[in-house]
Amino acid sequence: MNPYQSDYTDYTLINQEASEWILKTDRGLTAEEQDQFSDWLARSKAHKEAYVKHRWGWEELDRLAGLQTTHDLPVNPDLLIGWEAPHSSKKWLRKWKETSLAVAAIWVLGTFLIYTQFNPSDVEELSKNTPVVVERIRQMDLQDGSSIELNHDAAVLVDYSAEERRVQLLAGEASFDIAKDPKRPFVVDVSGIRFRALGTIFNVRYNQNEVDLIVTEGRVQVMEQEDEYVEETQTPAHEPIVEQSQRAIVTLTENRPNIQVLEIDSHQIIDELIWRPELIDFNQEPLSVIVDEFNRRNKVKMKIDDEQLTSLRLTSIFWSDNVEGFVRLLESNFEVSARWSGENLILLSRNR
Amino acid sequence: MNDPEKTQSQWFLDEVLPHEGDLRAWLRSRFSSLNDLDDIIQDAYERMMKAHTSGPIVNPRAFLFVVTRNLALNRIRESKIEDGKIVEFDPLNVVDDSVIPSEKAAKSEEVQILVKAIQSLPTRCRQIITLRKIYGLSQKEVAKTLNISVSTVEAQGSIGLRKCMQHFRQLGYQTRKKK
Repeated sequence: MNPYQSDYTDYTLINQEASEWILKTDRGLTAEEQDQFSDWLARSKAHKEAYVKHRWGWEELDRLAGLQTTHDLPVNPDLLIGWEAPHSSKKWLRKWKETSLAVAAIWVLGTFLIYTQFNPSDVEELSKNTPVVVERIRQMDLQDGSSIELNHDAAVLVDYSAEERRVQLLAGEASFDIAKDPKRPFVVDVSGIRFRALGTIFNVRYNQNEVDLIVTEGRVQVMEQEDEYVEETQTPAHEPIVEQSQRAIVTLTENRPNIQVLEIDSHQIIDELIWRPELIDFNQEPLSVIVDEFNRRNKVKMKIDDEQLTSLRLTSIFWSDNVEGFVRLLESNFEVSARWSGENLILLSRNR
Repeated sequence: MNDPEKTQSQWFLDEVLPHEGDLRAWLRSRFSSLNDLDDIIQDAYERMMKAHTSGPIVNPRAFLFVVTRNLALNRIRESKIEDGKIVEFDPLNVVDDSVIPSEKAAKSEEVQILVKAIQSLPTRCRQIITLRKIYGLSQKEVAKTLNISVSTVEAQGSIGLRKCMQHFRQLGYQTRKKK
């Protein structure tokens, strides 16, 4: 039976299988299971969604890790029998919820998070190993030298074999920087649509019923579904090659996907790929260097308008697009005053 | 002044960072073949901060160890998958009596829902999920503790997860989308 043509989806079964795969991946898949799992995921969007959902639920349960209070007691499988939270109070609960919401909001807005408090006079004291935690875009370095950057919502499954380097994009958006290997094509599989690349940099965004490909370097061939499916349709597959500075928008429909190839200029590419701010890491850098780094990457520029500030050195990690957060940090911790000059310029000077 | 950003970083400094030394030593002793410990720890911190912003964490130390171990195991599996081997590991013994689970977190609605979901499970499922998730035992260790087969742990565990998901759905407990 062709899974693409079936109009009946058995969600109960899919959920059951998804939960079974979670337990299997939790104990570690054998090589054989790895293949079966990939096949299972590839069967439909519903399969992938069920897997992502169950994985979320499985991980949520980790919040309870270490709920037991003492070390002396043996492990108790019935720990939760009769377990009650210590004097639950509704009023308190609400407050907690509000606080965590506020925290979440700030988390999204600001991007520098952990930062040890210090003032300009004890800059030297700051440990080089100050741990900094940020929700960075995840980067995966693969064994062949290729790398994948995952946007916040992305999930991928890497499946390398002797003949093919295959990555399934299950959800969200990712950028691929592919190492050349003519013998082993690199294929990104998005809901049956395959993007085949040889030594290329490109970005794929999977959103509902649309897949958006942008090629920044090299060429990518767009291929429909799996081969057996193409054969069944009996019309030659339309498999366009997308060149550098082009984008392809693939609309997933019931039958054949619709592939549209468009030109895209460098400005548009920057706009489209804006989700890829870099994490810049400053270690005892003078403010002038830091300002340059930010200015190179942003429309809003900063200018040091005070001799005294040029010698200020900082250690911190910032998202390259977080000019505002950086200016706030300067204002609150370094006696710097910032003022706007026109629409895109911020002047920095010492507080007086 | 109310400064949530401080709260966030203060939480990290107070509740998470103090365990880094132990964590590192433990990681080094259990996963001596891994050479990118810093990476793993950094990833674990990120997961923690993400989890912290989207809900309460009952016992940050235990959570940190659980997450770190999962990440470390994933790396080992990735690198050894060709052999078809499943890597064994020792029990996770991370409870520290000086660390008392957060009462605040335990009282939170989220934790109540998670606990109730587990409480509502049939006995075997409940025991399996309790040992795996609260005590952080591996599936193999769970099997040994309950004196059942590994395949029973897997089968009953997946039923448990499915029932928990149903429970979550009924209570409207779901993925909190950020952004």
